[in-house]
Amino acid sequence: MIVISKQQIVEQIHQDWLQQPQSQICIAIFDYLICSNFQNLSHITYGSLRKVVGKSYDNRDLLTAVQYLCGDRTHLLEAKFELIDNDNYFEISDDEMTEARETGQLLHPETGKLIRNFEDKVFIYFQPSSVVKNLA
Amino acid sequence: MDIENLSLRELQNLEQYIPGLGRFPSRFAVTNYNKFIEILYDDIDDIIYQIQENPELRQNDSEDRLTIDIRDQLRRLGYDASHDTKFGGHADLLVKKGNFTWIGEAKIHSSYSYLWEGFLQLTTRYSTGDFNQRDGGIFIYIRQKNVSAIIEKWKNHLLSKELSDFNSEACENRELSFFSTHKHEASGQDFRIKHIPVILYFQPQDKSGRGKSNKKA
Repeated sequence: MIVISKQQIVEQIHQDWLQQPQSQICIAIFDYLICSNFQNLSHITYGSLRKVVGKSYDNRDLLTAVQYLCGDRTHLLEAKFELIDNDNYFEISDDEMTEARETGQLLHPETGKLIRNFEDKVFIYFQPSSVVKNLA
Repeated sequence: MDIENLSLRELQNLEQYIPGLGRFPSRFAVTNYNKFIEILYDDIDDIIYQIQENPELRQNDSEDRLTIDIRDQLRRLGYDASHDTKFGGHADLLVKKGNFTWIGEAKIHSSYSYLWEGFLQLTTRYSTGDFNQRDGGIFIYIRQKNVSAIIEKWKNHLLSKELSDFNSEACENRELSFFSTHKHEASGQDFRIKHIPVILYFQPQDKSGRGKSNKKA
């Protein structure tokens, strides 16, 4: 397990984004992750992150920053998939999603039935990664 | 645009405004080596297209400068990418995802023997050819005209080396790139290399361009 310090993460973000708005967005999200109770962070949405960073940044900057934070470079956010079907929520594993995107077919986790247009019904949410939980 | 909750489809639709975003869910979820390589190559192609947009700014860039720019763009997509990492020698570009490793060698094209040196570095110094690193790439930065002819000659140069089990195939996504496969000396298994030309030729022949050339001269 990789254990790194908060300072190292901040330096890495600045190194990667320089003066781009994503630097400030990533650091705002990082602060939010480390200052909150992890139990309250089990279902972070794009909307939650929008509230965290405020309205000063456009969606493009926010979306690219979140993409960066989910990647192996920093991996501060763990991205998850969920199927929302008639207000019911079902978790979809990474392997199930990779296969679904490859084959164009996703089976309902409970009924086993083929889900039509699954890409309209599967959403992404986020949790703090193990990197955040194990910060030095 | 409301981004309270984004579906896969909505993310995909944003791809036209934010290159790479549509692949984002697949990029972080991938656990399969071949898929990892496929997504990486799509991302690299997008980065190359961006670099090629301004060849006039790249005329004095060194191999390292150009490769570091590719590394930086990959990092912003979230890749664990590094330059000059000690890996048998100092690999120009190293991309890791868990145990999966992809190594890129970069050369500014000056001669085919120089490109061949890069090929040897990649295949005999940096890579093991094991199951987790059975692909690599060579970035060929080209400031001369007619990249297509240069790549064809490079392909023939490789063919003349009579590498064990050598084969080449076209790249479906980008006609100027191609793949070569040969038996890796260390692992004894097939090693596949993507040969990635980067067009940096810049000789504008319009009035304004001619003026600049004259002033420079």
